[in-house]
Amino acid sequence: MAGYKRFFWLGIGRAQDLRRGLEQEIETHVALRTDDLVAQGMSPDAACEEALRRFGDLKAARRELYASTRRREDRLKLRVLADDLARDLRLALRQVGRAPGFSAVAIAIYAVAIGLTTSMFTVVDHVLLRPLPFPEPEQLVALESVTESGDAFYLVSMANWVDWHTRNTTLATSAVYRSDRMTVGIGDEVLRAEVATVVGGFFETIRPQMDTGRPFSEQESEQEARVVVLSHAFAQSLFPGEPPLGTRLSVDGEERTVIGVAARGAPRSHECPTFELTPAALAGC
Amino acid sequence: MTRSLPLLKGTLDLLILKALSCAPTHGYGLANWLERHSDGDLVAEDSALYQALHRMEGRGLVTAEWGVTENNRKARYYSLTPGGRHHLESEAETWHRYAESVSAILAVQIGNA
Repeated sequence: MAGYKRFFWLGIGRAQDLRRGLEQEIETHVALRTDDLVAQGMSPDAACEEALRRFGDLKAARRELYASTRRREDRLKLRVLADDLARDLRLALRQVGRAPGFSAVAIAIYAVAIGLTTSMFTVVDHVLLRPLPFPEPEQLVALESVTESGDAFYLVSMANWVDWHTRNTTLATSAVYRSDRMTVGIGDEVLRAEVATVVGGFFETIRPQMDTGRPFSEQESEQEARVVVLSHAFAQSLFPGEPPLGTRLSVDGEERTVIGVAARGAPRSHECPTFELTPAALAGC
Repeated sequence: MTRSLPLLKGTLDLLILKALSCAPTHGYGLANWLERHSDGDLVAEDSALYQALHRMEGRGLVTAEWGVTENNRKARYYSLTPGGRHHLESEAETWHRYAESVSAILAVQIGNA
């Protein structure tokens, strides 16, 4: 019962109430002593003065008592919180023990819900919240075709892109890429790898960090230079420990020279090809 | 008032605990009790009394509840906790031994030494 009383006192026991309680305690003390002194024959004024004198330095006492009261109430509040927590835990455990089946289902639902929310957030975080791993990601846009009925359509015809590129007045650079699984031959080894063929100023647009070497330019792209830039992961798996610059490899039967390796994590999502990049001419335009 | 003694450091707590072991009371009741039982010899400033009370409340030796005095004033009534009672016993024991030792030494007659 005392605990409850104390709890309610705490409930309204903000700083102001602590101060009021303290004032009340001092006031009662001085009043009681004054009454006694008056009863002993002192005049009320003299009695009050004497009572105050006997109390001592009122100002200092107030300050110290208030500080110690607040410390004590803070500790008490913590204890009440801890008690509440312990009580809730005990209650929860008893309930679990009483209805294990229901509890198991409830816990399973929570687990699934938390799992779903977490994976949802992971997706949102990666797709929407985290910036793309390129300089000035807020300046990058993805262009899509729009059909006559107004639907967005992610494939872009080369002719359309050339029109966008030459008549564009808002974008600093633009490029188009297409990625495919292709046959890559290095010496005697032949393997299938995801290769993106790019047209236009691809590297001028995304400006990825490079591990080594250099990216190819828009000019090289136009000239159909027979060069290739490798992703960090691809270079690591094929040429561990040795710089692959100058290495010749074939992509779908065409000889190409490695001129650079992009830094780890540079292009990584589907929108930014993860693999090998070869320039292509404005074929068909 | 001139013959009252200043309190030795640390004795106030002991005196308060003793007073509260008789009956729960408020701060003024305590001051009165101490004056009465020491024939006015031991007098502490009232503010020191409250500081000691609050300090001991923080240490869990005493506990306080609001109540009403005979002439209808709101007052905090202090009482001893079990921990406070235990503390009083051990401190009283220490005090007795201390006082006896000091008295014994002071009672030594120079001629007999």
